[in-house]
Amino acid sequence: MRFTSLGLFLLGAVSTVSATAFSADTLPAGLAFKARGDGWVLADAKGMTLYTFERDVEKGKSSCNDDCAIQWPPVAIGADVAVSGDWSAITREDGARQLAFRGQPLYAYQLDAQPGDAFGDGVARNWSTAFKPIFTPPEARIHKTSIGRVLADQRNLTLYVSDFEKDGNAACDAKCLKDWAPVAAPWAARSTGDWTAIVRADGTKQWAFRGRPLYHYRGDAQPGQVNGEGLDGKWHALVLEPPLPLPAWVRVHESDAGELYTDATGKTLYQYQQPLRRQIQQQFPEDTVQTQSAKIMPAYKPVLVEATGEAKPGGNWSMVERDGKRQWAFKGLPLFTNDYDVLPGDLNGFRGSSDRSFHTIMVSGEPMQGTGQ
Amino acid sequence: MRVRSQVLSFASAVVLAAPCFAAETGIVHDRRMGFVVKDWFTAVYETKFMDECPEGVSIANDEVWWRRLSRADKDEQTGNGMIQALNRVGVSFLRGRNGEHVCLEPDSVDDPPQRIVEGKLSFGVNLDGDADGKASAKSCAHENFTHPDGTTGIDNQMYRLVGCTYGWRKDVGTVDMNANEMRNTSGLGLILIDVSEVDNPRNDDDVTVTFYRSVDQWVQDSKGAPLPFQTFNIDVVDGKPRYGDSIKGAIKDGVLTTKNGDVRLPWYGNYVFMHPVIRDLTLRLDIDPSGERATGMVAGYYDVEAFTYYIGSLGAVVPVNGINCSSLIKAARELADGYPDPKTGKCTALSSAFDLLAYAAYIRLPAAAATKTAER
Repeated sequence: MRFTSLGLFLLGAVSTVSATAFSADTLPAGLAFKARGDGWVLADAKGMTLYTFERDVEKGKSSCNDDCAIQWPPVAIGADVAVSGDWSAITREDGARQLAFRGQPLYAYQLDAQPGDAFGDGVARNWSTAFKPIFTPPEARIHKTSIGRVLADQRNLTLYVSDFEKDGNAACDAKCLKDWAPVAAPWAARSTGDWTAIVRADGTKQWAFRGRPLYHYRGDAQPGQVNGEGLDGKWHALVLEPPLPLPAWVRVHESDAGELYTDATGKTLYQYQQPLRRQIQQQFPEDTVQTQSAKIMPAYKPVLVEATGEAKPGGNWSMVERDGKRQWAFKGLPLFTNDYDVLPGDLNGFRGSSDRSFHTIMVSGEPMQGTGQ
Repeated sequence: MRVRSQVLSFASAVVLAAPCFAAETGIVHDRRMGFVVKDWFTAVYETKFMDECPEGVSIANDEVWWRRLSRADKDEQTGNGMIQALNRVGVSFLRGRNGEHVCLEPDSVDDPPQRIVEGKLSFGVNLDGDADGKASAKSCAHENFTHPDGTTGIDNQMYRLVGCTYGWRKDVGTVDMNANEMRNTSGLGLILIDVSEVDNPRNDDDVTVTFYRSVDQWVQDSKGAPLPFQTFNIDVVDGKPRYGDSIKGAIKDGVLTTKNGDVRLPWYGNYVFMHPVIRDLTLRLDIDPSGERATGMVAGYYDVEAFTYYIGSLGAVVPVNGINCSSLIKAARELADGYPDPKTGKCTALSSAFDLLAYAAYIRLPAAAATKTAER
């Protein structure tokens, strides 16, 4: 078992934090919250993002052991370190102590290469950055959309503000209300922090965020839709955090399965992922659990950095060294195109096989629909 | 932001409950009539005692693997018999010489040849125009079939290839059945057939047939059949259809028949998205007098590469349908009878035929849908 450890980020030997007692309101030594528009992301001393696992549902237990714990190194904590408040420690299957935040055990991600990388966010729909969101009332939450992380309602329908309403004054008239529905606040709602419960002309209460009344757009039917964005030039989704930047050579195209990323010529980009055990074998050659070939089929062509004419990583886009050449990667996984893709958005290279998978990168951030992923 | 430009974003679930006209002209609106494809089955001619497959049916990938294991290998795979359920499906895929996935790299293993159809009868059409199956500029030498109605010169190498594999046989095969079910229940990539320039839905010697992809799902009746005359929006980006190849055709006594043309079709099923270009595609559609339903056949040359990709992506569908990827894909290359590669002379496509069941549909087009003429 290999751990990342507080104060000493590494994937090698187990280490412990100093025997300093944490107060309920104090971050454990070596950890930091990094501000983001929609809250604060927890990072270790080197600035590497930390994660929580949705399958950790049993109190005081981690569901990530064996192979999983190699890809997601647990954050270790010394036996003599006391924790309290939001912070606690669990005992892992092998007896080691692991730090938990608000009851959720914490992990690092093997493919994060630099401080600020958050390649593990959303992996397998089970991993999320360890995150403290901004305060929201029960009627609101934060949701990821194609235009960034926005305020949404409990059904993840996007919330909007208008340019003509400020300082808590609701000015959307009867005609306007045909398209825009005020976000109702309970009669007992109180103003808190950025949130104000304003009273409309008809006596009902409406939530306002930072002084701007909130609305639903009646043309949004599904979570994540932002059909009201930019309407009439004066309505905008309340974007808390813009989307991560795209390299200049990346394009967005429609496909049979939704919007996805392509290269500048329209060829669909595929993320290549070897099975976990093969990754283990490459990293730890002594572990000979797998003897399969890692050969890539010839129809798949690597997206080489020199071919794109751009070498500036950013957001989820990075570069990896492969076969002596620099290759673009998305969330740490190398990118390929497929020779059989002819028109922009073609999907002839998608492989869902558990042996060697080539997955598309959907703009929604979700797995490609209809593929059982 | 790019938004999939549906013609009416809110209309996706709207059903226009148009009356079911018995009158012949009732199914035509603005000189157009449309159909949405419900079923798409590879045309397979079967005899009562499977005489067309004298060697029997093909043996699935996992069984080929299992039969070749030594006793010691079997003991190892089953933990000396202690493992109750051996996952033959997953393990057997990785049996290439160097552990390759044999459905992705079919040449990585030497398997017994595919068991193919040896019968003389088949559904389909004469695609290459000859009756002898000799090689030509456009085809490689192959054996023609005779249609059950006596028509000679039938080209259907796809049937010869898959006809002795359980996956494509009636009642037991689930390759096409699964694909139809997934497409129909998800609404991902329903094929729309738009017939335009229609003056008479029963007899018209000059119509245009265009193939689109739907972005809408249908509503079913209490028996699970789609309600006819529902509205479907086509897949459009920036005002242009993402699919939309056209061929000229004619209608005689309610039977629509098209000329030949290369048509790019949407395809979704068995967790696979594809965009096969069926070359020399010709459609025959027998339109029910009520106009509610149509049955028919699509015939044309199906690319071996597209077929190879499909088989390689089937995953767990492979063993349960008696498929051995390596044998099947290698046989596809051998049996290909259309479109020789100019460099190698090897043919690159299989003559094919597919049975269709379609329901009447209102197809909504953007204001100026630009279609591409595919006619050859």
